[in-house]
Amino acid sequence: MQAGGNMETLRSRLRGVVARQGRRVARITGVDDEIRALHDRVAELEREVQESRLLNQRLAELTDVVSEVLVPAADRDDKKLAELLGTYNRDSF
Amino acid sequence: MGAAAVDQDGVRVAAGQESVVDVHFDDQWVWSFNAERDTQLAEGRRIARWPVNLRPFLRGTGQVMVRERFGEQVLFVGDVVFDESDHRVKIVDGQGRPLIVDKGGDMQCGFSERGEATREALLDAIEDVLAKMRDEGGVDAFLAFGALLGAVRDGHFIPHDSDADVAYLSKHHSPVDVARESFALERIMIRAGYWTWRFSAADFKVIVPDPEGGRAIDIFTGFVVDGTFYLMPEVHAEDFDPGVILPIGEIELEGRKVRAPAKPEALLEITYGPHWRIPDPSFKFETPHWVRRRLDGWTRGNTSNRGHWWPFYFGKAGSTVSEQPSPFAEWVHEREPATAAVVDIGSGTGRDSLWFARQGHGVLGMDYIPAATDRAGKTAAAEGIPARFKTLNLYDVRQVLGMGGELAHRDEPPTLYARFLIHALEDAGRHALWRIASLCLRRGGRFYLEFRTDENATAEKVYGEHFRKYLPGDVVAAEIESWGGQIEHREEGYGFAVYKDEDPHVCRLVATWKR
Repeated sequence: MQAGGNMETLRSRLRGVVARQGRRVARITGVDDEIRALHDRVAELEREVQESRLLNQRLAELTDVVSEVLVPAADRDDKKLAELLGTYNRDSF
Repeated sequence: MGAAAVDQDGVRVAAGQESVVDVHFDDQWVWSFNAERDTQLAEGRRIARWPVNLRPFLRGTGQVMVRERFGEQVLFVGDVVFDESDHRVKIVDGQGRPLIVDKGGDMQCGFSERGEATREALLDAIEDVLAKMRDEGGVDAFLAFGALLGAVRDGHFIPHDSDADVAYLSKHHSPVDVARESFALERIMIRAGYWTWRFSAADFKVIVPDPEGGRAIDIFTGFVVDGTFYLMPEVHAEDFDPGVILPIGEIELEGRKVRAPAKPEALLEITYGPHWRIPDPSFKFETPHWVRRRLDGWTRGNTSNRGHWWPFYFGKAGSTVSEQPSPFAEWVHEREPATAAVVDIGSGTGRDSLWFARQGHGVLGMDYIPAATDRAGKTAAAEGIPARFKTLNLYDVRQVLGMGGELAHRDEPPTLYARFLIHALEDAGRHALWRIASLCLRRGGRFYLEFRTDENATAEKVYGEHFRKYLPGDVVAAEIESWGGQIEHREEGYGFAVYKDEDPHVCRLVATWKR
């Protein structure tokens, strides 16, 4: 048990030393700047992905208006179109 | 130190406390929380803060008991003083019925407290809604979530549940088509006379009138994209077998046969996890990040700031708004002919809309929170004044084009009015507002706007801090011009919109879009 405990302490210290030295090397070589820049880039990409996903909803909404209102509007009857818009707004949401 | 302590902030349990903890007031179970998940570490203990919607009930003194749900241990019993008043804490609704905090954090009256007439009305409506979805909507819908769980467990609604859930498996695999199908289903429900409220592009609520004021049936879409099954609002399953749902079967609920998925137990495991058989009122979905982002991106693009305004108008805060007209409304009334029809966008409690109607203007008031438009509409009907109210979500393209088109077809162009709306909108909502104006003011009419400017950003507000976008008057004016409008009047400064202790720096604009 004692030997195992000492070994674990040693390992833990070693991990600390490696981590500290790793950070130092990263700072000196500029790798940490690169990691920060990559973090920012991932965040930006996530925003861009969400913007693209949102287009699904916008396209669905637009298509709904086109199919329910704009297609029947081809009849060119203004009175009917006004009624249709009223019905669309009343029945759709 | 006891096993738990209770004060004005919440319930404090030991740092090592595990599992689900129930909170009772007198002998009434009110709320449950998960001691590990729903708490924060503070001074060596875990604190579960009172849910926002429970807080208004915590006045005076209350008898509180805190106990483990799955153990025998009572962690706290005693009187708790919440404030100096003489009140005795009662967690009940206006009719004296016990309320509980549901998994969404809302105060609900569970099925166990409701009369048989209410349950029967809801069951009738479930059958009607499921039949209409199949016969008119062409989708095979079935009981889901809590209603299915209750039916599988013992053939009854879950006592603390308060509404019913149905779902269907869409045959579409593109979020665009899934949304369009859901829009079409909502039209079927509205045409059948139901009142609806949409939560996302793939789930909406149908309100069923009943002797106790109305219950909800939530209609959730399930759909498969790239082999992954998504069930709104939070559920997913990879490598999904459609045989879990199809062919549709039946299950008994409150003595009736109701449409159910082919393998109810399998769907419940997908929904609630492997421990779905153990009742846990503190249950919350643990949705993976990648699932939530997909569902948010595909379906929840129209919910900006609803988290603030929904409880504001559904709760008690909305009733603290003055019923007197704003100085801006009086100013607009003086400038417009008495016959001008006013369209108030972002009408809130209807404070200004109702006042315009009392002066004889025909008024259409619109806001995106139904509790706001509903309450204002009832006031208008009771007073017999010419104001009607409708929900309008400026982030929904359908509503913007639909309402803009309808207003454009009016015989006389309206007077558009938007007070304290601009700073409450994200960019997309503001642009939608300009689109509506450009559609309906082409033949005349003016747009009156009053909003907080950037000079108001750091000032203290009567209603505290929440999302506001403070734009300089210059920026808004330039944006209106870029959308084809012309600025006819502009002034800004202090003293225009004094409210209680607040005198915000505001900008007033009058714009036209005449071609």
